[in-house]
Amino acid sequence: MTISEIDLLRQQLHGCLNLNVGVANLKEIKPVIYIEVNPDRTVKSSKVVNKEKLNDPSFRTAAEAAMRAVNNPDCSPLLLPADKYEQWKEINFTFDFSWMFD
Amino acid sequence: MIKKILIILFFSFNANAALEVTIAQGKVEPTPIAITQIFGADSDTARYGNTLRQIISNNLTNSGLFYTVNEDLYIQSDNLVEKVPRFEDWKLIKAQFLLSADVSKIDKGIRLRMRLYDVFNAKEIEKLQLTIPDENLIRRVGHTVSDIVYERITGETGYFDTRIVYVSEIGPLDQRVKRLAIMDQDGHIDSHQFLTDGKNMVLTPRFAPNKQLITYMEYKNNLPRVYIYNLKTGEREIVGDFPGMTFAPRFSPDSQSVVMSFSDPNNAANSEIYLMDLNTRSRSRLTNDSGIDTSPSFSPDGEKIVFNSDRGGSPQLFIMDKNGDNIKRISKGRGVYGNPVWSPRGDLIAFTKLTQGNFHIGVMDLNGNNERVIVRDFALESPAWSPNGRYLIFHRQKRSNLDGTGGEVTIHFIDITGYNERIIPTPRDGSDPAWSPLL
Amino acid sequence: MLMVAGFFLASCAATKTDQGGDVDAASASASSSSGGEITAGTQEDLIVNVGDRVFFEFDSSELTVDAQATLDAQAAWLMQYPDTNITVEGHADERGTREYNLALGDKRAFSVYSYLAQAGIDTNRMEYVSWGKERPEVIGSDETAYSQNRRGVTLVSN
Repeated sequence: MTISEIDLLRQQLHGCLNLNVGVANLKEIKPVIYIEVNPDRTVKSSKVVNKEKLNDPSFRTAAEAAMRAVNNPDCSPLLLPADKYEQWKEINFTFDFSWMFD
Repeated sequence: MIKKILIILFFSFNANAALEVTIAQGKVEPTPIAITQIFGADSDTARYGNTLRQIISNNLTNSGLFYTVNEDLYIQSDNLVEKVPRFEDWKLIKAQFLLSADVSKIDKGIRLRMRLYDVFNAKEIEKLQLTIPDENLIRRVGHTVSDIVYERITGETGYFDTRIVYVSEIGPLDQRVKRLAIMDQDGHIDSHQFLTDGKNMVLTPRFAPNKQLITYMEYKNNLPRVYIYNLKTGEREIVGDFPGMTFAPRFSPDSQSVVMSFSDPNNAANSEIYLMDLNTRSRSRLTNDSGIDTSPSFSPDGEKIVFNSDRGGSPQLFIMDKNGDNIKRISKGRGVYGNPVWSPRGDLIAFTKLTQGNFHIGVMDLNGNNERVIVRDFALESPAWSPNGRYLIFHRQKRSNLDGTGGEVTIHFIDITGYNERIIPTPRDGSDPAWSPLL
Repeated sequence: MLMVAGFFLASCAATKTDQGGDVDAASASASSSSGGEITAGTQEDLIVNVGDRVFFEFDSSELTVDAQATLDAQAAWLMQYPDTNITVEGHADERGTREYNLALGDKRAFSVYSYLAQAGIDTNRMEYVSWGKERPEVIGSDETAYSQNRRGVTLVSN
């Protein structure tokens, strides 16, 4: 996939990630969400990869926000190039919240 | 609003591995939540339900972190306490969360059941059942449910089941009548109550961490002294009964002491900071300097005190140990600083600063670094923290004119990010707000 | 409290004769005195014939040369009427925090009090109190008002 194709997907997700600011320790929290994608570019399944941290309420809050972003109806179907299904049938999204402290 | 930052992007062309994408931006805007009717079988419980729904919806909206999706858009109208919601219906109207509840009469009072759902992830994330012994507690229950929802979704402590004590003001600006008053954090008129009759001027009330006491300054017989008001008994008691003015009181975190200023006539009426042990009534002097020392505020661990002093010339902010040792100046910027207040999280100092003709309310780190202005206007004063350290309340006064007009003073709420400022309504003018701990 | 307000208005008329806003105050002052005759040893006497107040620079409690001259005259007047007791009020303008201004007002009041004491007035005849920025003499958010509000006022209390 080209950089501009990845950019398009990223931009789409930015509009679907809605996080309530101020969650403690967000700088260190980086939930990773694994998704399987259908050929029609809808999300087939989604799960938190680093789920060992879900006992931490701050991490859980951030991970749930990330899960809502990938399952947000505004982000369905995902903006992906139809001819490159093999490259995007599985995606790991790493959510980095350090931007909220700029 | 989408915050712009430099994007670091990792991805892989390996056909067998998952595509790696880093998402490092998002929207900082209110999250849509749907709140169904809160169901009641008879007219009483239906009325309780309406009140509760209104309180919860207002609280969540006022936090700036949520907005309530318009009821007219709801497709499913069922009670969703026992029934699983049709998540697709709620997804369609873009509600990210869904709250449903019902109220019924039981032997011991009123029963409330609540369910909170994460719509996009199609799952229940919180449930609650509680018995309300008395209908007078409905407002508190509304605040408590709001706190539970807020905490579950944001991961931080709530602040809705709290009260604000403040000074109610009325009358000409040169003869203001000032009364202590108390209300729920939302300023709802049903919760509003005057504590003093206005005969004596009162200033600067502050809650004790134990929630039962308020310390403040009162001009009784024209002698300005520090008092304590007991919320349970309504009794007023002098604690700063010194041979001179006592003022600027605040409780220690254990509620056992009050730190305040005392202007000793034997010390040229120069204000120094004293600590008064409420049990033994012994007082100890913490500062000793020819400048004014006032506005002390304890750190939440009780180890340090931030205060205001003009010992270096102009009023600045200083931190000292609880016994008065190791005084260090922390304010670094230009201007006249005042009103320092230690945050309940312990990590920030809120303050006022007068510079270039305007007051600013801001926050700074404990060493004075990273000073950040939150709000600026002609006259701002009395910042006070929400118990979760996320919001500030303060008062704002308009300019006054020679003909006696203007000078209106109102209480405001703001997120420490500087967003979502709003007025907290009061029946008359209001100043010197202070927030209770979570009740 | 009404008495105090009356004194404020009266003193207002005495000290700000050049300002348009004084018409009401002047009439209030006239109506509060009986028949235009000034009784010796009263607040009115102090205001009209001596000057009941001194003014301070911004954020200062030091007595200016003018202030000292006024207080010398007040001390002489107090000597003349030895049965008179007074309360000295210290005030601040609105451009400071409430608590800092309470402290500043107390220092101002004490400056006046101790000057009079040094001039020979028995401290048993005197009290002092700070009102911070809570009781402005002149309403208004400008330097004209502020300079009138940064003051120490001597009130006859008996």
